[in-house]
Amino acid sequence: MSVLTIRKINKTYGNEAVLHDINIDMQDGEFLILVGPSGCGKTTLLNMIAGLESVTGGEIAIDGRRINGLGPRDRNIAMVFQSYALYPNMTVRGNISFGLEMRKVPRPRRSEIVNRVAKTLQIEHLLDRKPAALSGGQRQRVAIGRALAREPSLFLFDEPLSALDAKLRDEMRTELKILHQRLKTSMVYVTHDQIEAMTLGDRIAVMYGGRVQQLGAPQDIYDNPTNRFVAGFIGSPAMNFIPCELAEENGAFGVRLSGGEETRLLPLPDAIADKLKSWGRGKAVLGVRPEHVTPSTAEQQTEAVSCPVNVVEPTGPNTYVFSKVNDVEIIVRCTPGHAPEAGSRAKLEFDLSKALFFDPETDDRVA
Amino acid sequence: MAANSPAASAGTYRSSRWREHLDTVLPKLTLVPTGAAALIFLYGFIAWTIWLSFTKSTLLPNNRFAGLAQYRFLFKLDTWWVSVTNLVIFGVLYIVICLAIGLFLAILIDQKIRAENLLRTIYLYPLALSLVVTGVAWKWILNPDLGLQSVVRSLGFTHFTFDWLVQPHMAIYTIVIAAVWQASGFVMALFLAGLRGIDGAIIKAAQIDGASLPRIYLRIIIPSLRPVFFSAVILLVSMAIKSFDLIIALTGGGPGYATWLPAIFMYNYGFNRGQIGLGTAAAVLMMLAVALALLPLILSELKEKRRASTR
Repeated sequence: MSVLTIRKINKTYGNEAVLHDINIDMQDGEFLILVGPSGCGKTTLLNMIAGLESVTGGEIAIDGRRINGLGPRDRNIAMVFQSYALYPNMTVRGNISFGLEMRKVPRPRRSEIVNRVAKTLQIEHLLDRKPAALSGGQRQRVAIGRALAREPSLFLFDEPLSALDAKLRDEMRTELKILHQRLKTSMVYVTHDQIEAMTLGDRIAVMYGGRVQQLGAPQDIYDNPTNRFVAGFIGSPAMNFIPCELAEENGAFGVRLSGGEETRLLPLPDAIADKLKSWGRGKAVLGVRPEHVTPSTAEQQTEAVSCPVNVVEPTGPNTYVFSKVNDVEIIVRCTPGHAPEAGSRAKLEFDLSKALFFDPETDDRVA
Repeated sequence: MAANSPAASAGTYRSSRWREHLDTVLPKLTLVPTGAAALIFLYGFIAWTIWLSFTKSTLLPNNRFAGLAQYRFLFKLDTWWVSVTNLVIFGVLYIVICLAIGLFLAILIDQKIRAENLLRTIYLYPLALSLVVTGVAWKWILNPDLGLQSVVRSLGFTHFTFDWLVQPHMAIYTIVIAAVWQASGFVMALFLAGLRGIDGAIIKAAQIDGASLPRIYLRIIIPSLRPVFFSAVILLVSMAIKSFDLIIALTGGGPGYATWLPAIFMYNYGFNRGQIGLGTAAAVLMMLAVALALLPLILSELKEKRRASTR
């Protein structure tokens, strides 16, 4: 059964439309991520689910019940905020039980729930402290505890980890994933961080310009983005986009790539070539991920392009090489031992079986 | 050259030592005038006042020790007890009403209203007026023959009476009205700053938790304004106890001595009636009252802070 159904949702502020025709259907127990750059409407959408913002058009249903006109308290949801939003005048215990108190849960039952939640999140020793006396990670736990206490149908997270430092963020991310696996609760999670989106989500909705650009499983979105925006947004470092000419020479259909010296025609696999031929234009944008370009080790490799090596950045597990193809900068991922030297030239091999092609005008994927 | 260099380096060494010395001394040196002024004109005169209250000083200060005679005499004076009662009535009403109106206005202005800046300025304007101007203005407004009463009567309500200003038992409340009018905008500004410091997400979180808006204010927002209450009360207490010019301008202490406050008592006896010993005794008691009123507040706030920081 679907826990959350969003049908043809629109939102306008005055004359300005911020969300266009959003459709999402979320299964019970699913971890759904709304990801996108700032201003894409993801937080607005979350606030609309929570009832903190009105719906201009369309329908939102939780557990099959239409909730458009209902206030936040009647929607059976709980929310974790970016700034934690803990009640500063109450202890941790007070924070966790406030929602229960407002819903007239009797006192003994309340303390039972608080203790259970505190045990789940390992914050039992913090129960009598005020939020001001807690560290960032502890506050985040309390905020999650406050949401857990009410056992709602749906949890909403609004960038809960972005206020934490990098190390703590990684730890909390893993903890959240474990928590979800254990409790099997339905969660909608807003973030601008594509790594969080990839690691946490069962499904990801990539948003941009007030529209859901693509909705799918993380790996699927990574391998098969529907347009140039999604391709560039998911993955780090970002996908390389190289404007190039498509041509046929001696019966081989391929792309022309140049590293500043000679121009090579690299033949494309048949499946991609057929799609591009039926698309029928001479120019496209080649999208290739950094891990699908490698410096060639063989001396006379005909399908490699000689390119300049401008900058070499070792990061430990990988070394990134910045080069230039068809006058645009590209990033190449190498294993540390095989990285070329900065200032030299290297022959780069392109794994074109993984290549994507985009329409230079509409940014839509064509192959 | 070689023979020269040790002397030269010793020279620069000495000058850098001197400079270092100056660096540590200079900040303290610059504080000396202020410190000396505070020591003499604040604590020095407090000490002198306390000493004078134990002497037989009359028109001019003298050092003839009188023990507690001035205090004993003070406690027998009806004017003193009227002043003290007035201070209690005025102080309590002034502080409570200012806090209530200030908080209420601040909450209203915080509701993302239009023309917020304009309203804020309007509410804050009375504070820009000197207390003497406030007093004179309210004196006219409250004057039965010129102000509110005569206006309402001229509208046809001929039996309307509002003559608190000339009623000995009610005149103190006119001072409360004028003082509240003057200060509640200022208290509003304090509370508004406090409200602006509260994360808006807290309200959203409480809404999702199922609390109604009045509940959110009563249970979460107003309790988190505790530090603002603290500073507002401290400011208002000190303003109430040293109230002087407003009363002089509004009622002149009258009718009779019905609106005397300890500050007026002190001024009257100390400077007008040539009884400096008695005036200083009143001043010492006022100082003790301020200390007693504020000490528990300061201590409890410090304790709270220490508890938060040690955890």
